[in-house]
Amino acid sequence: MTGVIDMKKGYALVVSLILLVAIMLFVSAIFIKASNTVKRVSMTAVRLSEEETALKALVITAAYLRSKYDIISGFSGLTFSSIDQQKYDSLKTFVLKTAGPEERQIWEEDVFARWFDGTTLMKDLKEDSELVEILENASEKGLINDPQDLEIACFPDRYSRRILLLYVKTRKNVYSWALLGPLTYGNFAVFLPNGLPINTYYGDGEVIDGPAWFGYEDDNDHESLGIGGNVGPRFYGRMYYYDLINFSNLDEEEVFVGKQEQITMEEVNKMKEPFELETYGESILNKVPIMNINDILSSSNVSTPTGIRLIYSKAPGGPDEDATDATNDIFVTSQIITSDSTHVQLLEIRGNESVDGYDNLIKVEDQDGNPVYWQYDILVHYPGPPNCRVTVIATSIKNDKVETHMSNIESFNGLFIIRADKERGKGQGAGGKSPNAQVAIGKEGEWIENIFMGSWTMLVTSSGGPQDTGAPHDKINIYSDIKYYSVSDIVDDPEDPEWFDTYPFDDEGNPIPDLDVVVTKNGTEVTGKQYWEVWYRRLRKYTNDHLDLITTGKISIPYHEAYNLGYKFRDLQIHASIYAMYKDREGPGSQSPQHTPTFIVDYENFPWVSDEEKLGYRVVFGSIAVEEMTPTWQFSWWWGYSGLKEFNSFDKRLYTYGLSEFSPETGLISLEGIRVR
Amino acid sequence: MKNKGFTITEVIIVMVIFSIFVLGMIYLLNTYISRVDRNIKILDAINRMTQAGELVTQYLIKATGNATSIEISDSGTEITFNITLAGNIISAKLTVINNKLIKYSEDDQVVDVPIDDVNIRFGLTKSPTDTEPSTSGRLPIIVTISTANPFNPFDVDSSLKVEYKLYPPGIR
Repeated sequence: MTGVIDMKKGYALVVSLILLVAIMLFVSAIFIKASNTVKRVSMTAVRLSEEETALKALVITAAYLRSKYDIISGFSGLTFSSIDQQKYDSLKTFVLKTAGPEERQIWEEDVFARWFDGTTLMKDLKEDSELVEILENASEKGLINDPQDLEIACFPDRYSRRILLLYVKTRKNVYSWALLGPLTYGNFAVFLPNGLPINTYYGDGEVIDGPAWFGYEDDNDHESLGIGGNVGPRFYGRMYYYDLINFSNLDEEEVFVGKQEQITMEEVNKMKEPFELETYGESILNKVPIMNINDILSSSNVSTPTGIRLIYSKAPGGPDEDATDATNDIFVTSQIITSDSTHVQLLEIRGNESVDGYDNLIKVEDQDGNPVYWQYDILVHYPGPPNCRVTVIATSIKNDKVETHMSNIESFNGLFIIRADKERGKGQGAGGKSPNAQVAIGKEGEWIENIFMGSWTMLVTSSGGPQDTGAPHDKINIYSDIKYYSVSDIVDDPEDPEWFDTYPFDDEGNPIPDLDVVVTKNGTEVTGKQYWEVWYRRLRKYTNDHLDLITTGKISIPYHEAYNLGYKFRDLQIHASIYAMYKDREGPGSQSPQHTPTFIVDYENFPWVSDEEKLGYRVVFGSIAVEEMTPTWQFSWWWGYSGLKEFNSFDKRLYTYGLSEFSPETGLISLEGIRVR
Repeated sequence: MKNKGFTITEVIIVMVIFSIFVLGMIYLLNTYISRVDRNIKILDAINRMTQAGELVTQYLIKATGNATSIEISDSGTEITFNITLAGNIISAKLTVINNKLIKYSEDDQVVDVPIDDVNIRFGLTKSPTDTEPSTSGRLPIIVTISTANPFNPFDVDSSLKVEYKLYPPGIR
């Protein structure tokens, strides 16, 4: 019927319902979207807040733990009692899962495998009421969330309890973690007259403050060390700054760029403490497994990780403080040979004794005090220490009987100690003197490239007791190059740019500093930084070489004929960190004079040349920590020049918190590898 | 005969009233929806920027060593720094590729890190008084994260910006 609509089927209601449902769905979708976004934002906000708390709690805990550390015993003052392998495993898994690609390998191989795996000790730091109070105080000030919700614990390294793996875990499973360890003398502070350097390599006129403690005003009338010296870079220690400020009219600002603090004599003396061999021994060496070389040779195989100690016998006395021609007791040369198509480091250790027609022998007294004469060869297998295989081969002569010995060490840790002991029956009684150790690296009259593969610590010292002329008086004489395997000519790296040469000198024979553009031997212009980056890449890629050269006395560079090339003197390259230490042999209160540990070039015995360009360079690639740095060359209007110019190239790898195992410590600790996830 | 339906007039009246109601609802909903949508977009933008900031912070917090070892490219899209760990130094780099991707590298190894529609720029502080980020200078590291402004979507120059100032604990 027209004019009337039949609504029996309820079309209007259905349409209305559909519209209503559509609107409800639409509104719900928006509501859900809004709710999800708010949820996401609040989750991010909560996570950020948790991360902030985790990080701040970590740093607060680390600061607190500084007070629990000392050089001798490390963190042993903390009681590591609980055992929780599960927590360690889950932290390890988390750390490895979240680390970057390169980092992961270091955490796995250099941190966990080397220091922490196999230890189940843990310290729950929330048990420490002092720390809890500090954290609650921080929470009251609004720095962190409620510390009750935090899990804070640390794992000590399995050897010495000097390194802690510290972590904080929040209620929402946010982790922060870091390694807490000692700051060693491998750490540099850098000062320049015109501000901090752009990069970390040094050139002419640059002034470098060494690893906290070395450098001293030369009290002779030789070339004094002055800021802005025009030949080579200069290393100065805090002691030098101290003197400079106290005995000159300079303002502090003129000396300390970057507002370096001025230190007191009391602080200076405190800084000397870690440089006493006794402190170093108690803190590190005594805790590192080491065996006498002849004990190693008594069995065919040593399966436990160990270092090597050579104790030789010597009559009392030794080189006078200024003697440069004293006979060396031991000669160490280190070269790379090829065995089964792989490179092996051969360390030849010879002496200066002759018996029964045999020369170059080392006298070692046996248990009964009878002399036995030895020669040692140490074969270090690729990639070198730590944890590398070593074969020791030796020849002994006793009562005309010649014997050959051989033994394997399955895991050599890289610590090599040479110690002079007093021969029995000599120098006994009151006033009896001790021997001074004198060890040569290289040989007089020969230019040998001594190549070290892997990470080594070589210590030369002597046994206790008074000496003729005071202590310390031991000596390492360096006769020729000491080079790292990775940056030697032995390694031919296909990744090297064409211009790269392992000899760090440009085509004019000058050492390559970081900040300059230099012309390489093939005529390419490169910056120093480009050059050194290749150097570091090689060091990372191959055997991560490092050598700590330590003695209680002097590290000296004597002149010998092999320096003379005719038209000029050779450059001497030393790839090593140099540490000259104290050794108080007579105990506290002794009136005997204490000598100053030094690193010297015997420039007075180098021949005179008329032209400065004919002087060679002494290049040090590493850290230097000695109290006195003497000049390396001299000038006379009448005679000209003699000695070696110096170029100290900074080993960037040392710019770390001191987690290298055997380096001497400063007594400070620091954080490394901080992460939050 | 009883009329069981509605007259056209009745239907039209009902439809007019219903249409007015629907139109009113649509208007109200539209206003509400656009407000909600804008707020969602703002929240989303803040969330994306915060997440990117958190991500970048987690990488930059690893920086250790000398403050001068931190280098920033002229465009501010690349930052290089060192990571020191157990005597090793890793040369690390964060490179912004576009607003969807940054690349993180450690020495020669590179990983892709996705980001969610944000622009990231790195800078250093020129001087304590000058707060504008610079490609050379001193700490703190300034990370600027920006994204399109949802309030003004048609203006390409209008953006929301978050600035992070970072002092990595391992940098001296």
